[in-house]
Amino acid sequence: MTKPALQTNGSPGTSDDSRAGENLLEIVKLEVRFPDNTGPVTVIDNLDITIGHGEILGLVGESGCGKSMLARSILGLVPPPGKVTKGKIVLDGVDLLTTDEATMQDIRGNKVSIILQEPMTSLNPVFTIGNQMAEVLAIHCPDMKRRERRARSVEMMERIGIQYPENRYDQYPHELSGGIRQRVMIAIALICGNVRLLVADEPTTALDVTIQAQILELFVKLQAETQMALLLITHDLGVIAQTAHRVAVMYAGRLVEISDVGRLFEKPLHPYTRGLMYSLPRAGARPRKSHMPAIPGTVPNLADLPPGCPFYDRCEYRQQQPCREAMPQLEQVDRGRWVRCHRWHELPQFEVLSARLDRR
Amino acid sequence: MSTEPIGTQSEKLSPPRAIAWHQRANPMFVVGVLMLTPLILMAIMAPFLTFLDPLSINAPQKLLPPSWAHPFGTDHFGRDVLARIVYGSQISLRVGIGSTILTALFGIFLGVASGWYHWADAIIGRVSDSLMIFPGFVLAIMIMAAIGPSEFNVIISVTVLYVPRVIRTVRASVIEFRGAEFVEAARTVGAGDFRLLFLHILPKAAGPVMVQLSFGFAWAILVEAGLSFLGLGTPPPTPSWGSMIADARDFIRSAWWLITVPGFMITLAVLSLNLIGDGLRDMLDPRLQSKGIL
Amino acid sequence: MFEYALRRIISFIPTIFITLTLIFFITRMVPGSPISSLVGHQAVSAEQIDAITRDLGLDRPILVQYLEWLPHVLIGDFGNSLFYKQPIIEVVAERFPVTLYLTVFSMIVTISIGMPLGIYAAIRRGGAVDYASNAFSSIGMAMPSFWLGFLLIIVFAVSLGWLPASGYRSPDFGIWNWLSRLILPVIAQSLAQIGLVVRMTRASMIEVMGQEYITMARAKGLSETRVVLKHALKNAMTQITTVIGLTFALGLGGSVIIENVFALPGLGQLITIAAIRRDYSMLEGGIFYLTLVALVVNLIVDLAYAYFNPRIRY
Repeated sequence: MTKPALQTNGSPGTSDDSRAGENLLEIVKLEVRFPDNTGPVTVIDNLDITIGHGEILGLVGESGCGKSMLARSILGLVPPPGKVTKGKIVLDGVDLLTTDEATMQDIRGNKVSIILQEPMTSLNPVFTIGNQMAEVLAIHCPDMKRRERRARSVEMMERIGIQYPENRYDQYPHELSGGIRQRVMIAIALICGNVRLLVADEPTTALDVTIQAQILELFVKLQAETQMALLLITHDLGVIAQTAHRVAVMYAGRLVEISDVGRLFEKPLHPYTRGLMYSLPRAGARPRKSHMPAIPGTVPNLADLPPGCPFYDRCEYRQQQPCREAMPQLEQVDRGRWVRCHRWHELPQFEVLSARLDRR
Repeated sequence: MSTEPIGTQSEKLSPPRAIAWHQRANPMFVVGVLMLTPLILMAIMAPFLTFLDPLSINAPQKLLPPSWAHPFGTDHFGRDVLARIVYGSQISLRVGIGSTILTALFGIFLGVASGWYHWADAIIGRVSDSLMIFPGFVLAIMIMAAIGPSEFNVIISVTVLYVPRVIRTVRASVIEFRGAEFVEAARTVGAGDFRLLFLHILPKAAGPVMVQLSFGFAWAILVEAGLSFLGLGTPPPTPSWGSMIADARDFIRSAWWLITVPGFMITLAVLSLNLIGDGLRDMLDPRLQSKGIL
Repeated sequence: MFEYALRRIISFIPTIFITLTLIFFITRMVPGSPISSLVGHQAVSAEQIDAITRDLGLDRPILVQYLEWLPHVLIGDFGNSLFYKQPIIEVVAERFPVTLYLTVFSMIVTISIGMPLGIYAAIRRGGAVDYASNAFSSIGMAMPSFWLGFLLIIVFAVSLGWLPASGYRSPDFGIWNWLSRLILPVIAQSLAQIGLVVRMTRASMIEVMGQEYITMARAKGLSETRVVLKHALKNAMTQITTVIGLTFALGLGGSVIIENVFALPGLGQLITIAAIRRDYSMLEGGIFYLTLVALVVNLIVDLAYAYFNPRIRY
């Protein structure tokens, strides 16, 4: 698998990794803010990232790190009163932030689809599964006749591995299990057949373990079939190890580490990434559903960030100087490897992990 | 919304029914209180606000337009409208307070009983559901027709009208918390039914009940006015705002002040109480409104 | 759906029974009251009262009276009115259409103004329309409808002379003669109802608009209009239909007052007259038929609720 190029830098365009035209999606200096009583809260701060054609990019971080907000920014669906205040999101040469709403509607569900975290609440309870699938075809493929839409939906469900698709078509969401509902969500996302980028926002978090594995397998299979790019958002590094080509780690609205999967697991650089790895379940143990208790403390309140490194309070390698003094910049370590830590080169070796990971 | 921007939004939504008084007082609540306070003061200070007798008839002085001597004019018996308005506030508030207290007492008692004991629920639940079948005001008319017009009877009929709603709310809270862990915990350390209910469960229902009672208070004033308007409420010559409007209807062509002032007072009183209720509800949990609980 | 509807319709029968029972016992809560009202303030001898009491069967135990009364009223026969001296069913039938026009028209006005306004206030939350509609509904719900009725009469009938102040003409007198006398009553009746519907529509739309499936609908590429009018509204409709049902019941209660303000010869006015004259069988009949309308509407609302919410179709 070729690792697609990556352009991630404090100053975009200077990255030596960048190869023009190869990226499907380029996010440049993205900033998302929410107004608050005390002033705007920046939930995504100066974020640069790219996704190549056909690439699976894993985006990791605890809840509240801004992952979902990034996903929604791409589709232009930041929930109000939040707003994208700066930056560019360029898909195939078109800046999505400056296109008009009609074009965005054309892209959503068609070229770019999203799968939300909660299959239980993401399907509309008062419409049948079929209605919610065929609806996408009705907007994006207006030439299709009613019968064709039905046939296509049923076919799609079959392909996604939903049994008795003909019956499912006329059922309501509450009649289906969580696993099937998530499959329906995937079917809805892919039904147009034009998907270039699929954003999957914690697609397996709400499911139980055996179903999780099935859904992940399905993602890998569908990605191989369609050659779409996949932005896989998760808080579980284990999921990344199984599926992604490249990983971006987010903390407090910022990217803190970017790497291809191999090198990340070999040698995680950022203390936060290390913390995430420590919290992976041991081989053979039941995977935890909880949000990584191994890192002490919680994500800081973005409305009231302490000075310096946002991870300072929870970092086991922290030092008053320079960590408290200044916000670390995203530094290039190697080709395609970036880290946002003052002390990454001074940190002790990290070994414990590879043994755990192999057995997952 | 599951996509809160990192701990800023989610913290603003309190868990349902938990009383979150730490929030700043709701502006609607403040405005409501500011509007209600002068009304209450007016009722209490009535004898000091006007030296005129609201009941004294003075035929030659009838239907006088507003003037210095009679700021709101006089009615068809030559009675001072201001004096009648001032004393009328006493009736509205008495009916409101009286029925609110009775509603609270019966509502809580019966609601607790029907939430806690299944046998009680069979009777209380059925009867209170049945009472809600009648289109609100019609039930009041029926009761007043049976027991006759008087201020106290108005209080009774308003109570009968509103008690089923309070029963329903209290009952729902009791059922919700009946099996809760903290109740089980209290039970294991030997708390009896009475103690459990009044010390552990009822405080949880206090918020929604308070909201409901402030709406009930407003409703009581409207129902009293309506019944008095129809001649089924507070009997004449007592200066009830509703009956003042009824008396004034024959003079709407000649004496507009007779009808505008009492109606305005009713609107003001009801509005202030509704605002208090809205404010309380929003302080408690804004989502209650759409759930149809309140 | 069919099964649910059937069950719901069957459950209608005990409800009617309960309604009748409550009406019977509430109106007879105070013993001997029908008779005292019948004789009024005239000087009547004790023997005469006894005679009338026996005549009406009021000397027997209340349960016996109840059991005798029930079979008659179950087939709609409430006897004769003491005041009108004619069968109650006839008096009710004469006046029924007036109340029906008033409530149905004001419901139409309420829904066609209240729902769009509530939806708009919800999607433009915090906007000028939202604030204005909130102020409007707060004041609308606080104003006593009879007072509002008189204000309308003062402005539109007395001052401007555009519409008749009161009274009623049946449609036989011509559509305008009929409608013009209903316009002001319908406005007076609707204002508070609109306030209620606006608020509930707004609240449930806001709640629904925050749901994940709305984000999902947008993510599918649907236009905002379609997101609101298809995905959000159908969900909010479950709550809105309930409120509309409640509003209708409230409106039937309110019609009693409005009919008195505008001298409309409907059921509400009949009930008031019966209550003041203590014409008990008239009162019972009038209230029963008015409540029956509320029950039927309630039934329709429940069926609509089932239509909008697939989770309760069995």
